[in-house]
Amino acid sequence: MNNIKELLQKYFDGATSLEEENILQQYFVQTEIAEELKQYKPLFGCFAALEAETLPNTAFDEEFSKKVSVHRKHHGLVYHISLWSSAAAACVVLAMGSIYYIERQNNYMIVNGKRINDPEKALMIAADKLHLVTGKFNNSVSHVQQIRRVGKQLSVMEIFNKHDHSTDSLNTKNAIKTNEN
Amino acid sequence: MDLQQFEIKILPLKHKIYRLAKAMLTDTSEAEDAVQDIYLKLWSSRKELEKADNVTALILQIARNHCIDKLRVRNRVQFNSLIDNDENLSADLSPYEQAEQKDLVKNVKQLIDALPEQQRVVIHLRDVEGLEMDEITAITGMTENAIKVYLSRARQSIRKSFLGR
Repeated sequence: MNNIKELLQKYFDGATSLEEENILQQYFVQTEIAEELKQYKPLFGCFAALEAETLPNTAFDEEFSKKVSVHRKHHGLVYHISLWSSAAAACVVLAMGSIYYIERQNNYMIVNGKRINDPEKALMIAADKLHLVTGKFNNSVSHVQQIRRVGKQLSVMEIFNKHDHSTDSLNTKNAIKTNEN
Repeated sequence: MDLQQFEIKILPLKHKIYRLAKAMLTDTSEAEDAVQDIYLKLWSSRKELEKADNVTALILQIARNHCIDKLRVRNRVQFNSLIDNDENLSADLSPYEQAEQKDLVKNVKQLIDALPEQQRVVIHLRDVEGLEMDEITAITGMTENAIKVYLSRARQSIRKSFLGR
């Protein structure tokens, strides 16, 4: 009994080994317990009762296996669907990317040896150049008009000159005639 | 690990998990629900279970962490219905003595349930499950000295409350 008392003290200090705790357990489960130690019986009885406790759901294993099987099937289906969806999405992105790239490759302009792919920038440069060309064209037109005006004036002068010349020759002829007379 | 191996190696540990969950959550139905959730977690991490040196310790660690999460959600532990398992009461006792013993055992269970969470876990793993110190260290992450301190406090607290009645 003294041994049990010592073990109990060690037990409450948290210093017993598993073997010593088993000795105590065995002692308090049997019926021949010293009177002064009987008060500890419910403590060890409680541990034994708790250890014997089992999960109330006796069909747990079957239910779990069934649940996992269903989950696996469902998971497999979801996995395959998601895999194919991902592949389809990747194909669409790739196709759109390729079209965009080809479009960009085909539509460009070269300005001063530089390749311009940005359509907005290209449009601005084109507008500038067009403006420049239009300005030069207008300038040229005004020059041509000036030349035309000068040309017209010259032809008028020519007519006058011809007229003057014929009048002079007539006057000369008349003078000759007068002199002959 | 396939389902068949899981059924052989892991499913038989359900009672240990249930007892730990019940010790921590102090509620039968919550403990049952916890076992369901823990098993789904265990199934998800079956690859890690295969690699573990001590599968039982790892499983109880996962179970403990799950219960800690549950306890965090619940601010205060409610003390609910107590188990009524009297299989281990001595058959040699008279009906009166058996009834008395049953009441006393119930009182001890109440005292265990009323302990702080860490003390409750440690006393459960040691005195109910009979685990070695290194296993309790692996499950709880506590040092051996800390476990001994918690164990001593828990046991003395029960003795003081029980004998002080």
